[in-house]
Amino acid sequence: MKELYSQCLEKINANPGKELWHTYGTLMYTTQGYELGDTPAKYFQEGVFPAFKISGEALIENYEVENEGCALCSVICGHRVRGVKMEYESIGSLGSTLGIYDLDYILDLTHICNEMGMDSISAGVSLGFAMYLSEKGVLKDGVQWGNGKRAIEVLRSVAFREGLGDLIAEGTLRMAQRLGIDPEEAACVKGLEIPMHDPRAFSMQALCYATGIRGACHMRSDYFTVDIAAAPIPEIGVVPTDRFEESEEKVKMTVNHQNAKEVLNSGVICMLGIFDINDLCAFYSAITGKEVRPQDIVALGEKSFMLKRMLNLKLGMSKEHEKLPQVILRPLKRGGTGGFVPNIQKTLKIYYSIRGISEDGYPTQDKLSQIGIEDLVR
Amino acid sequence: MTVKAVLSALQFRKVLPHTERTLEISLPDNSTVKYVVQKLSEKVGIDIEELLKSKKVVIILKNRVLQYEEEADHKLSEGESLIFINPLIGG
Repeated sequence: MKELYSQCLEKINANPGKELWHTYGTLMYTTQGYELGDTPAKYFQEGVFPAFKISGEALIENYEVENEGCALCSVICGHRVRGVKMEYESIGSLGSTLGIYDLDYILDLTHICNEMGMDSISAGVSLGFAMYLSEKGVLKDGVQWGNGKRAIEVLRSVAFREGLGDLIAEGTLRMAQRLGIDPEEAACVKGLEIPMHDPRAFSMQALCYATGIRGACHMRSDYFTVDIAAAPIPEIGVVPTDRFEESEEKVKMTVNHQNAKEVLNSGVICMLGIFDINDLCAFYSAITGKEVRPQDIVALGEKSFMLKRMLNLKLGMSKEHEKLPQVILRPLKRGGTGGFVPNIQKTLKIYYSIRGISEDGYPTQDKLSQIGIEDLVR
Repeated sequence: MTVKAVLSALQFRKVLPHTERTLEISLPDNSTVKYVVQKLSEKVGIDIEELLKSKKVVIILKNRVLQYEEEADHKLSEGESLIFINPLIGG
């Protein structure tokens, strides 16, 4: 293990991203994500906005930043300003999603989420939904795009479940249900709010959201990282291609990626793409004494994924939940998505076939037998 | 012909203000990616080819990552966009 740790440290130090992550934090992605249409704005309804104002560059130019890292890591990518940890997801969900481009307000909003124990993605997107509904006149005493002062007031009220905050605290899906409006307007999948990677920017990220075990999660899997060449896994055939491609080959790569990420996430390993699947195999072997190769990781991940899927099905999930809401399927006239809208019906059909899932959403008996969990699900 | 270059990779921060990182470039017809990279390198004073070869920077062209080593001679068309990014993620 000591030898492996030394090797990993060497790998971290040699990574070309080390200096950039250290200097700009994960906010370094904001302007890049913007150019690709990946960073959303105004509740996923706008593709052009002043991204630079909420970028890593703007943060270090205007604030005193304190670096903070994970134990034993030499990248030290964490950025604290006035004691508040600033991350790309929070900048997007509490900034551009709300039409707020003033870092002072975003810092305060992030601070409220951190102190009150609220997830910044779900809180931000739900607040964005309230702004969207206010603009449409559904909410009378609502909250307007870009009004940082009012957003702070409302976000606090979410934590204490007061007034409008009591509604927003429910999250987008239940907000829609309580207000009696079309749930297709709620930017969530399986009740989980869509994070700061627009599914119209990467066709397979869209598929990952639709099929994600916990819904629209950008971690399982973060397929967009493949198509920008940040973290491909060539050992299992997962390589960058056209980000809008929806072929069978691409869906196969996505299934492999989802499976591999199941194991990577279980390992509590950095997701920035510094470590590859060979490192994962080496650590897995060193810890368990069992030699594994990249393909074994995929097989392990498949078992994990299917077990969780079976649990979801047992708890009431159905194939009807595996879709994206209409609010996210409207083409954006401007910005980096170029008007692309993922064809989830098409890719989902291919996905089910590759995964060995029947039309009713349940894995086939053959598939369960093949991965060795047929006894567990009886 | 004219193509657009978006210099979003952070290496350009040191030499260009953010307002000047999207450039319209006039080129002879049938110009290659390599030619644009050379022109841009001269303009901004950075060896962009080295950044591409070392994979510190990649180009997104027609919605996919261009494999510079193999596709440097790819001929560009009128109105195409080359987005220069760092192959890195945030989260």
